[in-house]
Amino acid sequence: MIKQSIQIVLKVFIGIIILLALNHNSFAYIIANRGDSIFDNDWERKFSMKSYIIEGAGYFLKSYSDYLLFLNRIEMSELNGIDYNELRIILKKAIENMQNAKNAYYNLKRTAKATPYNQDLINLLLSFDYDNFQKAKGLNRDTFKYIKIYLKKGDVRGIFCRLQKNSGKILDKLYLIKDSIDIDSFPDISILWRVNKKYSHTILFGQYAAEVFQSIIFGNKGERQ
Amino acid sequence: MCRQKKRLLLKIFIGVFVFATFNVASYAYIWANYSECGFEGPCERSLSYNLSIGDYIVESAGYFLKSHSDILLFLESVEMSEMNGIDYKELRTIIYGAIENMEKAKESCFNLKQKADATPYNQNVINLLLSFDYNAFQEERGLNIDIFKDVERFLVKGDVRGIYGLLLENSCEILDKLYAIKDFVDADTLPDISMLWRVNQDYMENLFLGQYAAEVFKLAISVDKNIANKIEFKK
Repeated sequence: MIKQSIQIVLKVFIGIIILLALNHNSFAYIIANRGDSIFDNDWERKFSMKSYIIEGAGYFLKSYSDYLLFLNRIEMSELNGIDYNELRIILKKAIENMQNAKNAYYNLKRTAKATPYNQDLINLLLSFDYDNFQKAKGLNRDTFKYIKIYLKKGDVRGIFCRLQKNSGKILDKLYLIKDSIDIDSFPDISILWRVNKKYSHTILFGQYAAEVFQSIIFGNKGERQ
Repeated sequence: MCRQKKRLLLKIFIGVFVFATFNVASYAYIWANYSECGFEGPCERSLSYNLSIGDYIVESAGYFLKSHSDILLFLESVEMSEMNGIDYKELRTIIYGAIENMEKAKESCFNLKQKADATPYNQNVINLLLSFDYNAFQEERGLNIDIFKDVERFLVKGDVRGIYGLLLENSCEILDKLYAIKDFVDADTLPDISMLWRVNQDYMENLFLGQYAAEVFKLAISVDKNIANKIEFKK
């Protein structure tokens, strides 16, 4: 009888632990956050998606930070001289972080593909007033139009897919720059410009998606929840 | 006689060294580069102890890029705080770094603007800017239209100083936002996420303002061989 009671208490305890773990709020803030909320109530998958979003965003931001440091060294080389060893170290980190971001977005895409949408939230995306939102928040039109293309069709998976594709494209270009730096040769400035553009476009793309998700889930407060 | 010769050789050597040092060109690459060619003198070299327009551009671009790099690290820490917890000490270190670099970028932009205000334009380069096909350039390169409009607004009138003024203005605005974020972090609280979003957007728009100006200058100048020959283009 006592053994049975202990077993029941233990089961309830484990159940509470699991429930708490799966309900743990981990939200990405900067890139594509709340994207996981658009999917149905499969807690295990949603939890993985949240983790992949945070992981992807974290690595992506780190890689861009590395890349801007690389540009800083290129720029300052005119005053301080060029140090190819230092450039190699910085670029290696940018590549590593971007590779990790790409992997995280790949996992995110796969998990999202296997998870059904939450139709109520998709309906909110379909009826969302994108033009007003862009104007009211002063978002960059050129970047926001891409977000609108995906979200007005309720295609959240498309957003994740785009993040993975862009990460891959950036990675390819980083390897091109690496080829120049590895032979102590100054990289083509126009490639540096194009990579910078791709990085910032992708961050704003993810950020705007996050802003829309936040708005439809919590109203237009734009507050950190 | 031998001593005299040695002295003469030494003088020549020092003279050549000093000349070579002062003739080292400093051109910015990423942000507003080549725009120094819109003014008399500096495109050909800085021949004085004072920093040239080109030097100030390099300096301000360097600090701006560093500050931008810092703020992305800050965002990364905020992002990862959902998994690893918030480390306010680390956030403070990063935001202080971002502010310090942005303060220096602002100071360089201010000096750049002052120097440019006191330097006459190189009319040949200004004419190249006046006749430049901005629309075709934007379309061909797929540049962000809203940001490029700001660049075009100034350069189509040959107003290079206006670009520097806008870079300075934007740096001040970013700095204000950074101080607002610092206030939160100093009080061990995270700022409203929308504040972080907006400052991130401001950094990117300001970076592109400088980058697009650089792209226009590079192409506009390259069509005039006399001017282009004076610059060592990096491809």
